[in-house]
Amino acid sequence: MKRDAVRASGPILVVVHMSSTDLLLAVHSGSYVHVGVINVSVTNLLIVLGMVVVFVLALVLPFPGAKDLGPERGERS
Amino acid sequence: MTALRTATVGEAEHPSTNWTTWLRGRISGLVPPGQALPDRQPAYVVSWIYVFGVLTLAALVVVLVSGAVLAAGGVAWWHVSSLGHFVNSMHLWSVELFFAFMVIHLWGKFWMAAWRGKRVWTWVIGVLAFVMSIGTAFTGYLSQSNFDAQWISAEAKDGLNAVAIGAWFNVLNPGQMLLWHVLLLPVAVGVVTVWHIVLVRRHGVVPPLDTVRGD
Repeated sequence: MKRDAVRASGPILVVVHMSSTDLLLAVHSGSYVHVGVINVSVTNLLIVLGMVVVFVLALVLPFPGAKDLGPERGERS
Repeated sequence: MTALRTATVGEAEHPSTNWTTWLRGRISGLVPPGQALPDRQPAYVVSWIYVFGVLTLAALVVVLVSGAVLAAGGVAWWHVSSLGHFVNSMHLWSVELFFAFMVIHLWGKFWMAAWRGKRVWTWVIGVLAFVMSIGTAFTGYLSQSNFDAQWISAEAKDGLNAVAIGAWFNVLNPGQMLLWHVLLLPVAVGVVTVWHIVLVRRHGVVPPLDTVRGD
C-alpha cells in the first residue's frame, strides 16, 4: 500500500493505492511454514503433529485389561 | 377340501436353484460362523492402536446422522439458527475426527503390514474408502453455500478440467455438487465401509509383526 499526499489549494488530498493483493492481505490469512515445495499453515501443522503424538501414545500406553492376559501377552500388545 | 401342503417348494430331492436360496447362502457364507459380531478377540488386540478403526466407524455414524439433520433443515436453517449452527459444527468436527482417526488407523495398519495373511483386499478396499471419503469431504466444502465454497470451487475448476473430468464433475455447479455430497458419495462410502468390515471379519484382525503362533 502506498500513500501519496497531494497539496491542493484546499484540504490535503490523500490518495490510497490499494491493489487486489492488498485487499487479500488485509484479511487475516494465518501463518504458514514454507519449506521447499511444502507450504502448510501452522494450524494444519499443529494438527498433524498432534495426530503423530496420539499415534505414538496409542503404541506405548498400556491398554486396560492387558495385564489380565499375563505379563508376556500384556507386554506384546 | 384340499389338504394343506406344508412341504417347502424346492426342498425335495432336488437341490434348490432359487436365486433367494443362492443369495442366502452367499450372505451366510460371507464371514465364518460366529464372526459377524464376535464376543472374543485374539490376545494381541489389547492395544490402543487397534481402537482407531472402530473410532473411525463411530465418527462416520455421527457424520451421517448430523448430515441427515442438516439435509432435513436446509441451507437457511444451518446458516441462521443457533441449532443449525450447532449441527453444522457437529458435522464439520465429526468429519475432522473421522479423518484424524482414519489416518492414524492407516498409519497403524501400514507399519504392521496389514495386507499380510491374504488380507490384501482388506487393505485395498480401505484405501478405496479413504479416497472416496476425500471426495465426499471435498464436495461438502463446495456445498456450504457461502463465499468459501465459491472460492474453493473456482480454484478447483481448472485442476479438474486439466484431468479431463470437469465436464462430468462440474465443481461450478452447486446443485450437482450437493447431490454428489448428500447421495452418491455417502452411499458409495457406506457400501465400501461395509465391504471393508466384512473383509475384516472374514479374514480376522491382522496380528502384530512379532506375534508368535498360538497367541
